[in-house]
Amino acid sequence: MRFNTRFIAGCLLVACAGWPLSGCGLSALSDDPDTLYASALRASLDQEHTESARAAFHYMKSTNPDNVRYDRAEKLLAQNVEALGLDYAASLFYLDIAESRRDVRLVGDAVGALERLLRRDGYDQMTLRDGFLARAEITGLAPNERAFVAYHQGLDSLRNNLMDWATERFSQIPKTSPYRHRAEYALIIHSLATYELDEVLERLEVLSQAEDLPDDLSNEIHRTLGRIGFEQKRFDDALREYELIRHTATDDPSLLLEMAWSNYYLGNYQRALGLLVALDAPAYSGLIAPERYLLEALSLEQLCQFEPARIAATRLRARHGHALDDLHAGTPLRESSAIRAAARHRESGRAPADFRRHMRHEAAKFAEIREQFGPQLAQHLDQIYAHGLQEAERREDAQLFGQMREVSEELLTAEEGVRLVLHELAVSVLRGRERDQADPLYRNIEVPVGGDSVFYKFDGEFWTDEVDNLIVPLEDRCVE
Amino acid sequence: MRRIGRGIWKLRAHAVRATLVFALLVGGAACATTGELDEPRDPPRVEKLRLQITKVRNAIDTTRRAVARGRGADYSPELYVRLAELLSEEARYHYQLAYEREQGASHSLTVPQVRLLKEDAIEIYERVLRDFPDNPLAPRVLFNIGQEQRELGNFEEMQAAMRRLVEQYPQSSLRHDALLVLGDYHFDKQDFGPADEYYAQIVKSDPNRHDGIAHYKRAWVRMNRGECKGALVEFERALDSAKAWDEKVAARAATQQGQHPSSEVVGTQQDIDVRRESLVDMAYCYSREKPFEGALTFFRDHSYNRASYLAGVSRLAARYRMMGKYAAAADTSRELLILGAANDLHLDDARSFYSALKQQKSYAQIGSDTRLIADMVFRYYSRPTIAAEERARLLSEFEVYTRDLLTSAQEALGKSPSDQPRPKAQVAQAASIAAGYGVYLDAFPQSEHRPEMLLNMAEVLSDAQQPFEAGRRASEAAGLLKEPASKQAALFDAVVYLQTSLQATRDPSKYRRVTARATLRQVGSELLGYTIAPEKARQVKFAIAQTFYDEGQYNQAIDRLTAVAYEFPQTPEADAAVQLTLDSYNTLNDFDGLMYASRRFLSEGSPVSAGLKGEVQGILAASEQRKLDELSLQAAGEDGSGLEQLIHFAEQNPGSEVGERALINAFVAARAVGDTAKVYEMANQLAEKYPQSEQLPGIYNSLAQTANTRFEFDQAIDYLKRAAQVNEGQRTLILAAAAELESELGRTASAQGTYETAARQSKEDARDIALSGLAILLERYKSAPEMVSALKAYKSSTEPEFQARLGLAYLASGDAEAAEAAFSTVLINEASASPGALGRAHYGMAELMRLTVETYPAPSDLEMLQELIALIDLTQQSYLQAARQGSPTMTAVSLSRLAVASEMAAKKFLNIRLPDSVSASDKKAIGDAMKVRSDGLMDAAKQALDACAEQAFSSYNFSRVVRNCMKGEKLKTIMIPMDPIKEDRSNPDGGFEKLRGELAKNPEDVERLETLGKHFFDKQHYHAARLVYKKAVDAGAGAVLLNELGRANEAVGDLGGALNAYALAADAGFKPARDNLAKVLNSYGLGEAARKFEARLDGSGEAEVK
Repeated sequence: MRFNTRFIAGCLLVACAGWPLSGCGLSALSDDPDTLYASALRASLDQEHTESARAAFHYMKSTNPDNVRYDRAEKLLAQNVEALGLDYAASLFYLDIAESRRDVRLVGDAVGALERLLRRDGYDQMTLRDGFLARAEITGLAPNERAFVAYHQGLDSLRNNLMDWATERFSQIPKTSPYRHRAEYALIIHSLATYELDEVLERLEVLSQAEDLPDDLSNEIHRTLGRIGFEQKRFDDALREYELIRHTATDDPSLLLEMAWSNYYLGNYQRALGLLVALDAPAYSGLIAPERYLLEALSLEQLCQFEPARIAATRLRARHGHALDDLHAGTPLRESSAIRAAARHRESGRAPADFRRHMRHEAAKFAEIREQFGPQLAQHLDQIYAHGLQEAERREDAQLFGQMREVSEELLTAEEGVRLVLHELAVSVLRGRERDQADPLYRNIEVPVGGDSVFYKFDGEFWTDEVDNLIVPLEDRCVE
Repeated sequence: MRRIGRGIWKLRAHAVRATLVFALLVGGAACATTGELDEPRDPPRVEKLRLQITKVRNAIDTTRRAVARGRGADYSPELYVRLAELLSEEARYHYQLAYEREQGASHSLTVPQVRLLKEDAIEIYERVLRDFPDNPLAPRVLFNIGQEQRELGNFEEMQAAMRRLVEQYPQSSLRHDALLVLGDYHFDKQDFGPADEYYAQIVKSDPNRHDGIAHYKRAWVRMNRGECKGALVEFERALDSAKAWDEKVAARAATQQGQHPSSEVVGTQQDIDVRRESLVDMAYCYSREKPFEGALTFFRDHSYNRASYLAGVSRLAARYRMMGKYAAAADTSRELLILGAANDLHLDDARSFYSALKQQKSYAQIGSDTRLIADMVFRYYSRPTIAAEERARLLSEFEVYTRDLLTSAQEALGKSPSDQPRPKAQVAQAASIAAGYGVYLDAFPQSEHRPEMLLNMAEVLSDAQQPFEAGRRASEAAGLLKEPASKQAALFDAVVYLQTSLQATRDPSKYRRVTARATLRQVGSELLGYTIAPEKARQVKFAIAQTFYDEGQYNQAIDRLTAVAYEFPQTPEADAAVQLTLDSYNTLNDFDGLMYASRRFLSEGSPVSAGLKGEVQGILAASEQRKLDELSLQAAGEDGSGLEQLIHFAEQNPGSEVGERALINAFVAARAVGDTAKVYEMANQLAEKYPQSEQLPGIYNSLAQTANTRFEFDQAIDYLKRAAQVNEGQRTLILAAAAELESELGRTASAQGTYETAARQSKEDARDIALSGLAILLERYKSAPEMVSALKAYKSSTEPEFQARLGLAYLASGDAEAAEAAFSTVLINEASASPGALGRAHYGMAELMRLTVETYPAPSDLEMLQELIALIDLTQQSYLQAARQGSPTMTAVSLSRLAVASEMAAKKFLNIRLPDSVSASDKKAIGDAMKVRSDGLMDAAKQALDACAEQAFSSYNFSRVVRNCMKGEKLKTIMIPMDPIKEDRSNPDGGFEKLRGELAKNPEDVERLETLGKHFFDKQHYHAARLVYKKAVDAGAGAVLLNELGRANEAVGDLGGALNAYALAADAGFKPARDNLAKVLNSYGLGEAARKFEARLDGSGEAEVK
C-alpha cells in the first residue's frame, strides 16, 4: 500500500495549526461516570475552569438527576462557569441545585452562591429572587443563608402587605447578620406610608448608629434622612446627610442634583451651580434630568446673571434635542435611543437595564471562549444565553416603558418650563437687578491665599474625587 | 538532477517524520488529561454506617464493662438502660445499612442482627424493671420496651408495655407518648374507637406537647368516619393547641436562653408539623362544610408562615377544582400565583387558574390575572433544566391561555354603545382588559397575533376612555398589518382615537398631547396615501390640520385648515377649519391676515356655511378694530413710528368706520408725538373724507388747542371757527373762545363780529357767554351809543356782565330808565354776578343818583334841603358800595366819580338860596351849616381822589382812571375809559417749529416760553409775545419775564398792564423793571408817582418823600 506521504504531512500540518480552534484540541472525556466526575473535580482544583465545567456537564449527561453526585457535578459546573465570569449560567445551575433539593446538603451552598451573585448587579431578578428565593420554602440552611433568604422573603411579604409574615421572616434573621439592619430599614421605609415622619426619623437615626452597617445601606439611610429633611424644608439638615454620603456621588448623579437643590434653597447659588457643572461629566451623559437646566437658570437668575441664565435654560434643547425631537416627531418611545438610555438611569429602570447589559456582556464573553467548552456544553450554554438575552431584552422593553414615559413627561414639562424661565428672565431684566429672595449665603467667592482648603481652577476635566467639590464663583450682580 | 531530487526527497522525509513526532507530542500532551486518575471519591453512606456501627459497638463494650464493674451500685440502672439504648442504636444502624444495600427498595427487611440486638435490649430493659422496680427510669424503660416490641412487630407486647406505663405512671411525661403510640396503633388498624379514646386521654390531660397532634389524629378519625364537621372542629383545635404549645416553648426558650427542654429528648419524635398538616388536611372538609367566603382569611389567620398558608390554600384550590367550584378555584389559584414561588406545581396552578376563569367567565380582574399567569411562566421558564423546545411549548401554551382569556373578556364586555358612554363599572372592566392586553404584548412580543391583539387593545382602551393609548395601539397595529383594507381601518381608527384624545381639554400630560399630535399626523398622512372615502379624507385632513393649530404652529395650521375648508366646503369640518384659521391669525396678532381671511371667507365662493358667516362678520369687525387699536397704540409711542401704518390702514379702508377711526387715531397719535404738520394734515383729511364725522368738532377743538399751545393764533382762531361750524351744541362757547383770542390780539372788529355771530347763532340760554364777551369788548373800544346800538337787540338777556355794561351805555346815552332796568337786573341776579358786574351796577345806580342830585332844584325850604342832603348821602353811599365790590377797576372808577359827585354836591350846598321867609339868623345858621357840609364834601372828594390814586400803590392798579387820579384828574364820563389794545396785523404763526413742538408737548415750559416770547418780541410780534409772556407768568415765571410782559403790554398799548407788570417785577427786586416803571410814569407826567413808588420800593415812607 503506497502512502502519499506529502498528502499526509500536509494534513497533519493543517490539523496542528487548527488545533486550538477545533474539538481536536479538547481532551477526550472518559465514558466512565466516576472518571468524568473525578476529572471535573481535579480540573476545578487546578482552576482549569472550562475543562472542569465540560467534564461536570458530561458527567451530568451521562447519568440522571437521581444520581448521588448529580448535584455535586452541577455545583462544579456552576462554580466553574462563575469563575469564568458567566454569572447568569452559574446562577441558573445554583438555582437548580437549591430548588430541586435532590441533595439537601448542597442547598445551603447553592443558596450561598446565589446570595453572592445577587450582590452583583445585573442578575435575573425575576427568576432568582421573585421566582425562588423570595417565595420558595427553603429549609435546612445555615444561619447566614437563612438570614439572606429570610430577608428576601420578608421583603416580598412586605411588598404584598403581609406584615405579620414579613415580621415573622425578619425575626428569623440572627442579630449578628447584616440583613437584620436591612430588614429594619425595609420596615422603616414601609412605615413611611403612614407619614409618621418623626417616628421614622427617630428609627432611622438609631439605625444609622448601628455597628457593622453595610456601606450601601448606610448610604441609603443617610440619603433617606436627607430626603426627608429636604421634604421638610430643613435644607441644612438635608445637606448634612448628603455630605456624609457624597463620596458615593460618582455612582449616583441624582445625589448631586438633590444637593444642588438644597444649596439653592439655602441661597448658596455658587455651590448649587458647581454641583450642576458636575452633572456635565461625561459619565452622566445618558442621564436626563431636565430640572438640572432649570435649576441652573434659576440659580444664575438669583445672582442676576441674566444672560448666562438664559443660556442655561436654552441648553436643555442643546443637550436633549434628540430626545425632544423624537417626542415631537411621535417616534415610539422604544425606538428612541436617547429616551431609552435616559430611562435606564432611573432607579426603577436600572435593574432591567443592568440585567440586559450584563447579559450582553456575558454572552459576548461566552462567545469568546465557547469552543473551549466542547460542543455539548457549548450548545447548552448557547441555549441558556440565547434565551437569557432574549428574555433580558423582552423584560427591559416591558419594564422600561413606564420609565420612558416618565422621562418624556419630564422633558416636555421642562421644555415648557424653559419657556417660562425665559419669560421670567426677560421680566427680570426689565425690573432690574433687585434681589427678590433672601440674601445669598455667599456673595462673591474669594479665594484665600492660605488656609486649610486648596482651590484649583476647573479645567474641564472631571475627576471622581473632585466632582462633588465644584463651586462656580460667579459674581453676584444683584443690587440691594 | 536525481541527486538533487533524492536529496529533496530525503529532506521531505525528514520533515514528515519531524511533523509526525511533533503532532504526536502535541496530541499526547493535549490528550494527557484523559489518563487514569486516582479517583477522589466521596465516602459512601454505607461506609459511614459501618463506622457508626463500629463506634456504637465500642460504646456497648465499654458500657458492658462498666456494668460489670458497677454491679450493685446506685447507678447500675442507668448503665443498664444506657446499654439497652446502645444496642437499640446498633440495631438501627444495621437496619439502615441493610436498607442502603438494598438501594432503598423496601422498608420490610429481614435483618437478623436487628432482631437479636433488639431482643437483647428488651431483655436488659426487663431486667431493670425486675431488679429495680422503683427506679425513676421505669417509665422510660417501659416506653423503650414498647417501642422495641413495636419495631419487632410484637404489637401485643408493645401494647402491654405502653398500657402498663400509662396505668402505673400517670404523672410521667411519657404517658402522653405512650397514649399516642397506642392511639396510632389502633388508628393504623382502622380501629378508630379505641384510637380516639387514647387520643382523647391526651387532650383531656394538662396541656402537653402532644395536644396538637392528638387533636389532629382525632380529626383524622372523624374524617375516616365521614364526620367532616367534627373533623373541622378537631383540626381547628389542633391548630390552636399546637400554636399555644409553640408559644409556650418559645417563651420558655427565651427565658432559658437556648437550653433544650429535657422532656423533649425522649419520647415520640414524630416529624410532623401539626399546624401545617392540619391546615392542609382540613381543606377537604372545609371545602365541603364551609362557604368559600372567608376561607382565605381563615387560612391566613391560622398559618404561621407563608409556606404553611400556601400549602393549605394549594390543597383547598385542588379541592375546589375537583368540586367544580370555579369561582373559589379561581380565587385560591390567584392567591397561589400571587404568593407562590415559580415551580411546576404553581405552573399547574396557572393552568388551573386559566380554566377556572374561563369556566366561571370571571374577568373582573383580568388585567392583573393575566399578569399573574404571565409572570409565573416568566419566573419559571428560564431554568436550565427546561429545554428550548419545552420552553417554546410553554410559551405557546400560555400565549393561547392569555389570549383566550382576554378575547373572552372583551367579548363578555360587549361592543360599546355608539351613542352613550359606558357605565363606570364597564369602563373599569375595559381598563382591566386593556391592562391585560398590555401584559400580553409585553410577554409575547413575537406573537403572530400581535396585530389583532393590538387592535383589540385599542378598542378596549377606547372603551376605557383612554383614547390616546388606543390611538397609539391602533397605530402600532397598522404598522404590522399587511392587508390594505385592515391597515386602512387601523389607521383610521388611530386617527379617530387620537383626535378624541386631543379633544380632552383637561389632560395634564404633555407627553400624551405632544405624542398624540405627532402620531396623528403620521398615521393620517399614511392613511391619505390610500384611496379612501371622501368623508374619511375630510375628517383625517381636518384632524391633521388641527394638530398644527393645537401645537401652536399657526402658520402651518392656517395653510392646512384653509385648504380643508376649500376642499370640503359647506361641511362641519370646513366651518371648524375656518374658525380655527381665523383664531390662528388672531393668536398670531396678524390682524391683516385676519381681516383678509375674514373678507375672503365672506366673499363669493366662500366655503363657510351661512350660519357661520355672521360670526365671521363679527370677527372681521373686531379684527379691524383691534388692528386699528394696535396701530394706534404703536403710533402713540414715543417716536410715532407707527403713524404711517395707521394712515396706510386708513387709506386701505376708505369710507368705512374703521377708516375714519384710523384717521382719528392717526390724528391723536400725531398730536401725542407732537407732529403738528401731521396733526393738521390728519384733521384736514378727516374733514375732507369724513365731513359728517362726529369727531370733527372735537378734532377742531383739539387742533385749536394745539395751535394755541403752539401760539399759532390764526390757526387757532380758524380751527375754533371751523369747530363752531360743525358743533352746534357748543358753537357759542367755541366762537366766544375765538372772539376772546381775537380780542386779546386787538382785532376788535373781528372779535366783535365773532361775538355777534356767536350771539346770533346761539340759542337764548347759550348766548350769554357771547354777550358777556361782546359787552366787555365794546366797553373797551366803543362809545356808549355804539354799544347800545350793538347790544340792545339782546337786552332781554339777564347775563350780569352784559346788563351791567349795557346799563352804563344806556346811562351814558341818556336813557336813564333803560339803564336803571339793566342795573336792577344785575342786582336782582346778584348771586351769579361777578364783582365787576356788581361794581358796575352799583356804580350805575350811584350815577343815576348823582344825576338826580345834579338836577335837583335849589331847595326852597328846609324839607327840600333835607331831601337834598339825604340824596347826596345816598349817592355817596352808592359809590362807596360800588367801590367795595372787589373789582379794582370799579373801585378806582367809583372813587373817582365819588370825587366828582362830592364836588358837585359841595357846590350845590354853597349855592343854596333860602326863601325870604327864613329869618336872617336862621339863614346864617343854615348857611354856616351848608358851608361846613360843603367843605366836608370837598374834603371827601379829595379823599376819594386820593384813594383812587392810592390804588396804584396798594394793588398796582395802573388803569387809565387810576393814572388820572394820580394826576389829580377826576373821571369826567360815566363810561369807563380803558387803554385800547392796538390791533395786531402781524402773523406770528410760522417759524420756530421745534420750539413750538416742544411747547405743544409741555405748554408750561417757562424756559421755552421765554425763548419764544423773545423771538416774537424781536420780530415785533408784540401781541404774540405778550400772550407768551402771560402764559409764562401764569406758569410761575419770575420778575424777568414779568418785566418782559410789561414791555409787550406797553408795545401793544396796554399801558395799565405794562405798569402793573413792571411794578410786580420791580417789587420782586428786578431793577430794569423799576427803571421801566419810572420811565413810563415820568413819560406820562406821573413823575411824582414814580418817585413815590421808588421810595416805597426802597422801604422809606410817604411822609419822608414829601
